[in-house]
Amino acid sequence: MDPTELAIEVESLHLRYPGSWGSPAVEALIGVDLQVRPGEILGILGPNGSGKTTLLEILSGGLRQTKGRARILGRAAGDRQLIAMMGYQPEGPLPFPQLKPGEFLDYLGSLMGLPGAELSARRKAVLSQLRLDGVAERKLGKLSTGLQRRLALAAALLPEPKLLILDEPTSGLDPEASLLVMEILEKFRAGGGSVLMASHHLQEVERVCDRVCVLVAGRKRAEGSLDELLSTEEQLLAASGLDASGQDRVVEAVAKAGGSTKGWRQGRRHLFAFLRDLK
Amino acid sequence: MILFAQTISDCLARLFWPVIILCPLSWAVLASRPEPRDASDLVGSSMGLWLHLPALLLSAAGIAAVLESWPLLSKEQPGSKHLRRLRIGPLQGCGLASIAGIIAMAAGLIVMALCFDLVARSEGKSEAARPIVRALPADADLDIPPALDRRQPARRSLSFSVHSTWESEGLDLRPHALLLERDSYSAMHVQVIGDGKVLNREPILISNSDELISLRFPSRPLRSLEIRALDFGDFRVSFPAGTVCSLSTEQHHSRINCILAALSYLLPAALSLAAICLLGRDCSKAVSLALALTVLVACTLADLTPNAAALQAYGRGEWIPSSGLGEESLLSLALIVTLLLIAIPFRSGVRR
Repeated sequence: MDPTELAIEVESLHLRYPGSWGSPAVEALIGVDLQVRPGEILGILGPNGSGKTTLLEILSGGLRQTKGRARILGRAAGDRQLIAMMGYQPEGPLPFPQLKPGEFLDYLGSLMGLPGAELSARRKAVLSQLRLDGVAERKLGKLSTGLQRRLALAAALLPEPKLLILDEPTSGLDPEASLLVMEILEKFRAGGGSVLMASHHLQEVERVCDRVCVLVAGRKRAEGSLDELLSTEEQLLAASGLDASGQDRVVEAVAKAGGSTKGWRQGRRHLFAFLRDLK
Repeated sequence: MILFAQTISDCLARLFWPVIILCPLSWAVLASRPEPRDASDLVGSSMGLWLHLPALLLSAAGIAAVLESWPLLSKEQPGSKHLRRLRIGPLQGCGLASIAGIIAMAAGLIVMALCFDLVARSEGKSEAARPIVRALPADADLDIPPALDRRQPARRSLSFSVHSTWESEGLDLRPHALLLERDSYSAMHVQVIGDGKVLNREPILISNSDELISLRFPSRPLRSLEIRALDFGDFRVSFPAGTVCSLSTEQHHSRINCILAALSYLLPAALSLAAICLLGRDCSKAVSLALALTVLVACTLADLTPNAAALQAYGRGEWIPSSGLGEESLLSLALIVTLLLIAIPFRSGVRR
């Protein structure tokens, strides 16, 4: 990757889901700007329905924005060439419950255009990397949620991508597997790769993300390193160095001030609250 | 190829129980079916809907299996996000998944047809399908309308040419007769001569208009025909185009005929899947299935696809490939291809 080239460049991105059968249209993203640099991990934070998954879907090429511009590795989002340059781990279960992990990766690899010999080597490597060798003979439908999530990450890593787009990569994983995923992401970054990940797990965001972007109701409310976010009080209340009881006290104080505790995200050291409801 | 084979085996696995359940149902339907009275009896005019039931249910189960197997056929299916960005062919892989489903359905329908035929045979039905009639109209050798008329006694015979490559085993004549005088009624007698040889032992009596006169004789090549008036009677008898036909018969195995009848149900199933390929992207799985079932039943009941006609032909013992269903099948295939072509721009683009 050209070190000066942005891995992801998003400008004024809008997405409007049209209404149907009497239900109103939904503005899922409203003018979102975003940049991910080479060798950087950017975390997307936000409450449910804030537009995180929609943003990742657009960047992965599965959805088309209504307005705005999204460029991935110098190409327009959705470009065919990006299929093998970028890994995407969406939310939800895997397709094809009748396949075995190796067959699933072979199928996706063939769609990504990986040649047979390379695909075989890459399949073995990613299964080993995600410690999935032991379940090679089990069918996907018989795998637990955590194992399916790991296999989804293995599929994202299959083409040796320059960029990973991950939606809740540790959701459903046990602590050991979460740690493994974090290590893999750090290693990926060390190799020059970029990552954009949405997460509700602030502890993991704290650990691996260089910067975070906060989305609320489809709009970007804040962006920067954790230290930068802690220094702003405009839209986001952030506190650091709090233990659990300290965090609880902040929550109580916000509630007393008329704010909502919805959207609180607690990490090991940090606490974020979205202040849209505060007077 | 891995997934194509897997989709077929997945659909087959999902169709196992429907086939097991539907075979006895088809037996029961067959057992309660009235025997056809003659070749013109539309089998089961009263039972027609019930005869469709096992094959339609199997087709419906097959369509449901395809919908389950391929996440991109309908909207927001589990696992679809993993595939959506991968640009799997012009139809997002839906075409290939549909073909896999059709292959699985074909296997299920063949099993059902074999069971159906087994029961039919245990009830004493012939192993051979009824001799099938191939008909070729003979061409009159005259520019004027070919007619026999006592007012033109000089013309006692009419000549026809038969341009067939096969041997003839009979003739179907349907002469148009016009009574010349009200107060007299005397029939016309004719003789039929093929390549110089008299084909009818007894003179043929023509006393009614448009009455079918069938003439059977041992198989023989037939190039020219002559219809000669033995006595004119009080009629003017004409043979408009298509009323003189040379016939041929063929023996076919009823089991293959039964399988062909069952496989004809693949056409409405394929049409239903094509409709899902076109519209399913924005419909939930339940809505897609309902759409498919509607197309499946509507095609059958409204004769938009030739499966109902194929079933009737089978019931009459006619050899299905020569019962004129080929053109209807081609029309159905053309409709399926058209739907798939229209679906390509909808499917190949990124969803908005």
